[in-house]
Amino acid sequence: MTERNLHATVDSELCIGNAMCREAAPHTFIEQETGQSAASNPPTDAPEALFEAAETCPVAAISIQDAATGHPLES
Amino acid sequence: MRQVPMDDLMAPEVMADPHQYFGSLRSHEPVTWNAEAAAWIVTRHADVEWLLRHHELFSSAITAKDVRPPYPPVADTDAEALAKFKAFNDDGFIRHDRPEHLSMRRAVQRWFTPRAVEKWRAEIRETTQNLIDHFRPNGGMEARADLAAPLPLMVICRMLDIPFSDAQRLRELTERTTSATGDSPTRIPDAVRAIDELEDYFAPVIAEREANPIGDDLISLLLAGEQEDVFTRRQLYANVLLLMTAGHETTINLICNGLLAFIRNPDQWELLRSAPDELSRTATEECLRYDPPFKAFWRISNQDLMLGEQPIRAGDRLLWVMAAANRDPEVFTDPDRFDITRAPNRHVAFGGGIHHCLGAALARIEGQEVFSTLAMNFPRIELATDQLEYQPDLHLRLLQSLPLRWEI
Repeated sequence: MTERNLHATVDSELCIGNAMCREAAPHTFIEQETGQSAASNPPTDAPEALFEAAETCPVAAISIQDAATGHPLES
Repeated sequence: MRQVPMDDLMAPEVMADPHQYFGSLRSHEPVTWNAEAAAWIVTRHADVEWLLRHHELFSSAITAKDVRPPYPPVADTDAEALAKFKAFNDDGFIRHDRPEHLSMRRAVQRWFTPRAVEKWRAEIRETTQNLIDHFRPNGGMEARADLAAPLPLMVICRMLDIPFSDAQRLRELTERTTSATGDSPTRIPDAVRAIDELEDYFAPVIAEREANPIGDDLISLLLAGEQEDVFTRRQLYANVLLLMTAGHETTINLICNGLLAFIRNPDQWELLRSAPDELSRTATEECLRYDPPFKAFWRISNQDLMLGEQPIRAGDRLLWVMAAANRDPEVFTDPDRFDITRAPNRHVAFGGGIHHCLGAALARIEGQEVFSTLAMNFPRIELATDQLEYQPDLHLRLLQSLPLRWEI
């Protein structure tokens, strides 16, 4: 799978600004005024970095989807 | 009833009902100077959340960077013990700022992700059921000692890979270290002696683990961090003890405070019983919001800034109050109502930002499994006392005991 097929989302109801996603995939997860993260799409970080970001989120606020179908993907 | 001295955060009235005291501050002066604690008390949800999410503005090196005497006060004769106690605490990863905090947290993070902690769920449920079966014929239990403590201790002992038969001794020692935030005049020397005894226990365990690596346990994970120069040996000790303590002390309060909320709101117990597995998640979040295990914690301001309307100076000490933010009517409808279906529930019981509680996902599972399993077992749980006492503590919302009874 190539990275342009992926789509990342951050649930702003859940995000508590732990910022581990910004360490794992700094080009995709961007700090907002609120201290939370938001996803910039299409993601330019490697797929592994995106899945790492989703996995390490302490509140499971991140999901990585197939951009074409919208189906959530797991690493 | 006597007038509550406005600045005495350790007053019995504040211990008995922190929600009333801090709620009143939130309504009248949401960022207020407390002369006795020499600190700003921050009580609004918006301000607490903003503070938590700006670690660059608010330092977590809360004693290393603090020039003021501790609150509650410590006797001058205990200065030596206090220096030792501070040095020990300062080695914990939670009292570091970036960049050190990031590498320290990363060293252990993968064990605590929501997915990683799921592997403990079945065992937590089974242990809860076994404890219930053991105590059921008695018609009741002292929930703190009989259930709320042994359950998370079992999990953290398994994570550290140390025998559960040592748990009681370790529990007594860690209780003496956490009581350092209480009001006993001898608390600091007591805590230092307990830390020494804990080190005496863990030194051979760590040496053995180093000589014969068994791989998948928290101590091995910290040792790997030491290999990579993330931790010094002093820091390794401090963080083993920190994980041991944080791994059970707060969960005890989640379970006890949550059970008490259910006892006082039997309609919500009925509701949970109607669909225990479906409702255990939102119910646990509501327990965390309604009467959080941890009431308040410190930060130090890194620079002159405005918090809400209040100017704060560089170096100022701030006490941010989860117990008040969690009942802020600006965020929560009918905030004093215990509603286990509440969603969304943006409580700050676990803090937030880069220091958001490392063990949050594990604590959630422990809460979910205890509340749902108890609900499946008991149509009704009652208090077996009319005298509930909270341990005097600035941070922990700690019931001294919680005697329960049920029909056999």
